[in-house]
Amino acid sequence: MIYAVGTLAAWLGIAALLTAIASCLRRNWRRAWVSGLLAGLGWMISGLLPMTPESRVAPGSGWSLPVVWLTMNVWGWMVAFCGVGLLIRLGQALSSWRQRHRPVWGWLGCTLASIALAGHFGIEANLLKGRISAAPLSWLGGLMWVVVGMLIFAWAGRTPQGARWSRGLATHAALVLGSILFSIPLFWLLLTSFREDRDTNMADGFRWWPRVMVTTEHVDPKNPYLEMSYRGQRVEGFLLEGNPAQVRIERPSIMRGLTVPHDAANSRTISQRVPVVTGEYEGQLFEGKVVRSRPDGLQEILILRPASLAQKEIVLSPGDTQPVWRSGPKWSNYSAATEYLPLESERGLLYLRNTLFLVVMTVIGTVLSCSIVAYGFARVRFFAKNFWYALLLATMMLPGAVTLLPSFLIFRELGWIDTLLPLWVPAFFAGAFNVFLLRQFFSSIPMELEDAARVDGCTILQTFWRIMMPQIKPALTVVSIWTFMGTWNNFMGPLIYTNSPEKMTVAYALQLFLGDHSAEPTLMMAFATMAMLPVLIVFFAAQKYFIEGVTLSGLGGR
Amino acid sequence: MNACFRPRIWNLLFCLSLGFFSASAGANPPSPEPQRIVVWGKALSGGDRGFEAQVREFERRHPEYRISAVGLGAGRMDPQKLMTAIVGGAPPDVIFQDRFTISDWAQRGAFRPLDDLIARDRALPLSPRPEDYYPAAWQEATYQERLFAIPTAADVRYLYFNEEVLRAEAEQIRTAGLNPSQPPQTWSEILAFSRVLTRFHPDGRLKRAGFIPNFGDSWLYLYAFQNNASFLSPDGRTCTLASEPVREALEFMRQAYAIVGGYAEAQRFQSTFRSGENDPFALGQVVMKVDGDWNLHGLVRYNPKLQFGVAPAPVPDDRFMRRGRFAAEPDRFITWSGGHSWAIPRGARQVEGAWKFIQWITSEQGRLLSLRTDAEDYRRRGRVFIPPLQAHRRTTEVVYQEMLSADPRYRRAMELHLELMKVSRSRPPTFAGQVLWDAHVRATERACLGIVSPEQALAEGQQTVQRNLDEVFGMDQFPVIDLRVPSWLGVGAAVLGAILLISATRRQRMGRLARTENRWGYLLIAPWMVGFFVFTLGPMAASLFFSFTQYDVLNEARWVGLKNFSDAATYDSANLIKAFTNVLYLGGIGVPLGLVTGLAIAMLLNSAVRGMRFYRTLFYLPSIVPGVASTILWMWILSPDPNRGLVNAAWASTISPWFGVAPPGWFTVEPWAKPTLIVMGLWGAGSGMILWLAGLKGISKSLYEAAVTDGASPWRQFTSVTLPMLSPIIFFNTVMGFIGALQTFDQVYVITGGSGSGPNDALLTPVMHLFRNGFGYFRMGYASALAWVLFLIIVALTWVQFKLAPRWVYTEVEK
Repeated sequence: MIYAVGTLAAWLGIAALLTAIASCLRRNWRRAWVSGLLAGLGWMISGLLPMTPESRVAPGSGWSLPVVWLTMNVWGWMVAFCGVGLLIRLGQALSSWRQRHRPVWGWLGCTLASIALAGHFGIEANLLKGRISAAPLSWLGGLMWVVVGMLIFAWAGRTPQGARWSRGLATHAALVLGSILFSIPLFWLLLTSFREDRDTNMADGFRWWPRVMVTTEHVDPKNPYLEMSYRGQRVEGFLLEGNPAQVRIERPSIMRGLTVPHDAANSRTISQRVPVVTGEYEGQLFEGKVVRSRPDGLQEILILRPASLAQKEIVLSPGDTQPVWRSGPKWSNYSAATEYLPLESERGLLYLRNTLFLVVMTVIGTVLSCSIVAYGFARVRFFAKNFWYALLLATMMLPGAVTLLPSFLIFRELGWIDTLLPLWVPAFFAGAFNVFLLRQFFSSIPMELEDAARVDGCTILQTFWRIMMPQIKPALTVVSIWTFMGTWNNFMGPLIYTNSPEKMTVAYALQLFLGDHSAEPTLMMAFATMAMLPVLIVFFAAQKYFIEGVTLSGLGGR
Repeated sequence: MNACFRPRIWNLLFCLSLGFFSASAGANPPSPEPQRIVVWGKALSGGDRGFEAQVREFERRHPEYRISAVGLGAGRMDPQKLMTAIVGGAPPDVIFQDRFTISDWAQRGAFRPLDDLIARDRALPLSPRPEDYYPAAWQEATYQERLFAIPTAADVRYLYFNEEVLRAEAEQIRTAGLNPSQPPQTWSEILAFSRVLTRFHPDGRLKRAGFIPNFGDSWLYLYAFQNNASFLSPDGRTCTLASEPVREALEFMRQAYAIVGGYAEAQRFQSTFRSGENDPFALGQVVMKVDGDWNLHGLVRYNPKLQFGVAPAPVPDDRFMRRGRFAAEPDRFITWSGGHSWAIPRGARQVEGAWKFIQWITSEQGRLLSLRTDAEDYRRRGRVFIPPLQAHRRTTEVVYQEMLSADPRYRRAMELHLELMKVSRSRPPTFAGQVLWDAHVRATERACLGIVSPEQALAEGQQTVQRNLDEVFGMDQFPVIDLRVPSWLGVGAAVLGAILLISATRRQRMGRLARTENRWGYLLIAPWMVGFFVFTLGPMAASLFFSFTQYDVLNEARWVGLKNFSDAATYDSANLIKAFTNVLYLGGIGVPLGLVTGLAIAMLLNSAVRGMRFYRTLFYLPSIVPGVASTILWMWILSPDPNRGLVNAAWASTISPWFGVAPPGWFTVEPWAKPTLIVMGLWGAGSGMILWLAGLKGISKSLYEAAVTDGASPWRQFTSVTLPMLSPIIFFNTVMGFIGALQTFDQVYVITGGSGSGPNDALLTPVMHLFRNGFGYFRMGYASALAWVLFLIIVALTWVQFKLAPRWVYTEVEK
């Protein structure tokens, strides 16, 4: 009962908050105030009710949909509210900073103040977890809701305004459903990349939210763990006894197992991370850290809790203890993935540099050469033009496989194998598709503009550079972005032309990484996410121009 | 000698025009003090602690070297990668390869023979000596009396049986006249056991299989070896895949499949299997299987309490009874052994270092270090370590003595490993090893599915392999052709064309202005023309030329006339038809579906609702995910194991209990493979969606207003205004979609791991077939011919589409 009321109140609070934000956006201040008050009331109720997070749900009870509610006290919600407001205002202000910067400062002040208040009184945030059973009956219930919803829509559609509303709602519903469907794979990619390896097996239940095994710091005076610099590389490892003393490297993972001389001047003892486990000892539940794994397979555990057993060292077999879990993403998958890359690659930075170099060169090459050629085909009269243009279009049909091997032999004759040259030089020789695209665009620009320029005494090149180029900017954006994505994701080229780790690109490294770590999906997905991140960023940054460009560039059918 | 393609003119031209570009691409950084030995085929980061320890110890012993190891497909190296590296003159120094592919490479002179090094270093303690190795392993690395690789690990295959089930069913087994405490020893016994143990659901689905012949790791190879079959004649010139012993073995497999409800049902059943703790063998879903010794690891780790037994794999009855053809046979049981080995590619820069590395890594001392490290690592994690078999005899003996398990089950298995190593056979060393393997897998599949009779399936396979053998042995009848001649001819043709063009231009009647403009026009399109001639027309002509030759890139080309094309039309036509049917299926269903999905999303996004940018981004996002990453992601999501794959996890807990439909195997079963590929493609429909959106935004509002005035319903507006106005984009997308579908390669390459073609060739595509012939079987000439066939078919299809276009594509009158 308490849960029901509390949850309801919390949800009401969230709904009211959303209304308040919407009203603020529409400058309907009175409604904003009312809903803000309502939201506060809702959270007060949910915050005051004594609810403890229910973190353990019996696994394996069929397929059920887990649901999480967030409850916070007033201060927490204030911070959230102000933060959201600030973000919205900031987003609005970004496009025209001069006119709209004032509200940003106001919201910033509110946010800081609420953070200060929250810091003083403390935020009590709780995640309430429950499950909605997905038994056939409940699905039937869901279906009934859908039917009822459709009936309501039909009823509402009788008046024009109702029709508009219901149509809008239906569009939203379809869009939301579609976007969920389209985002599931990416969501799963992210989720896997944040998981512990053993959680990728869903034999004991299905988790929507990642969790990590808790580790803690440990310093073992008998077995010192050091940080040292070795050949300019920061390494960590155990000090081995002996004369001269040596260090067995543990991290970075690619050097693991390497024993190197101990360089006392450049090293310092640090604490290592050891797993925290829980188990039973003398009939009591305990929590402790694994301080050593013995050669006979048993583990030495130092008990941390409860107090009665604390600091006691016991020996147990790994099967008798369980790891302690904490919910949250495992960020270290990302750093672990880069640690496995060859040393030459400087944890992947070299790949990034190579790829960026390629991307810059191909984009420059493509934009320059394709626009020149497209201009030639669009506006200059010359002998056999149609013949050449037909030839150009025909090359679009050519399977890459036809030219694969001979091209390779040509590049070998040039001595370009294992360099980046074969990957960017061809971009300076105009690809068919982009020429086609830009020619379409050039053709849609009125002839008068050019004639005027000619009359004013511009040469063909000047006309092209001064008059025409600025006109086709949207199309050039599209071409650049497509080229960028194509180059970034190209793996066939690097696969054939590059061999040494110093010449590899991100996409090829990704492919290799997937081959080497096919048994570790968490690392695979982490690396894939990293490989795709730059493309995503560029897409988000340029999305407006990109879509405008496609819309305007004559690709839209004419 | 290796005659290569030497278009000097191009070289010159390039150096002139690109000299300034090349200057900007920096040279190699100066190499650090220790020299680098590049190792391919085994990664330092793959979690193989034993290999790590060996490499570190080598670096300690030889501070003058440093090892740089890259996996590149670990063990089963991407053949294309290795080939391009050797041809390009930048091969690795050491390579880790599956032994049965060694002769493939050796025949082409791609690996360095090691006999001289072995003879030279005979006295050195670490150096490998033939007499120390199991003969099966050593022979597999030997080709035409010369040794090309040093074997490391070895493996054996034998029968695993679940004792718990046998005990529970003891009564039934006894009733059938069999002895439940004596596992089957002959083919007829195992069939009888399987008949007793196999159970079906009332609806005919398999519930428990007694014995699935190809579940585990047995293949037709093992059963045929047991029947004393050899796949090649002793001189290696004749393929004997269709011989009587092989046919009998295949017949045995067919019978065994019939008992479990047929091959297709077994495949479906297998696709529901889980891994780890839910290993179907441990759960008793499959009671008996023939599997490799490595499988013991997983069993020990995940099911330590399982009561199971091991025995030599059952053999033909005659062999067991020592009668008929087997009367004089000393060995009652036979197994098949394979494994990996280390080789040095031709042109390796650090031969001495590479040899030192191989010496160390294959030596007894080195292997022991590796195995002991592994053992300690296992112990530390609380697992039981079962040492893998070694090709080096003494290493195996030492290790097995040292690490013999106290548990009687594992002890028995380890003793069996040693016994079986003495009676192991290996695949015949031939340059057609890969072809033979693929052909035998295909024959097994087709015969067991009942598509063709075993005789015919084997005959087809034999023919394919024989063609390949004849091609190489009959090479001498074709003249060697110097590749310089055609390249000069090409250059000559280009010069002639240019002269003709210039004279044709001269003859045109043009004013001075027009002449200037003409010159400008050619100047402007010059970049494309240079690119076209050098990167498109030149290679195209070269590939047309190659299509008339037999050429493996590593050796000289031989002129064979139209043979490649006639091969494609005759004996390889079945494969080609299958490949083209597959892509037509993908195009015919996938392209329209893609168009409809893209258009539907675009229509939704074109309505004026809030948050459009957000939705648009979400829909577009999937199409910018790199192809490799998206394929891997989908394979992960669609993993048939319901413990790992998201979709099957959901399916197993909803659809399975409600409707009793088992989760499908997606890419792993024939009926689902292509639809799955299409669904994967639909996820990327966002890129098309942008074009649709652009098209929709381009339709003038007045058209809709006019339609509304005429009283058109929304549906009528869609069919009469939207669709005709969009028809040019529909046309464009269809044409491009078809061209793309016909060239499907990347996804299939990743899904099948670069070698296969999916279940029963369901994912074989023309480009995949071409790729496999060119880079897998070294048949560049044939691959070029296939590329041309594909090109012509694409041109024809596109031409048809253009011809049909005026009937339905609406074009606005040019302004």
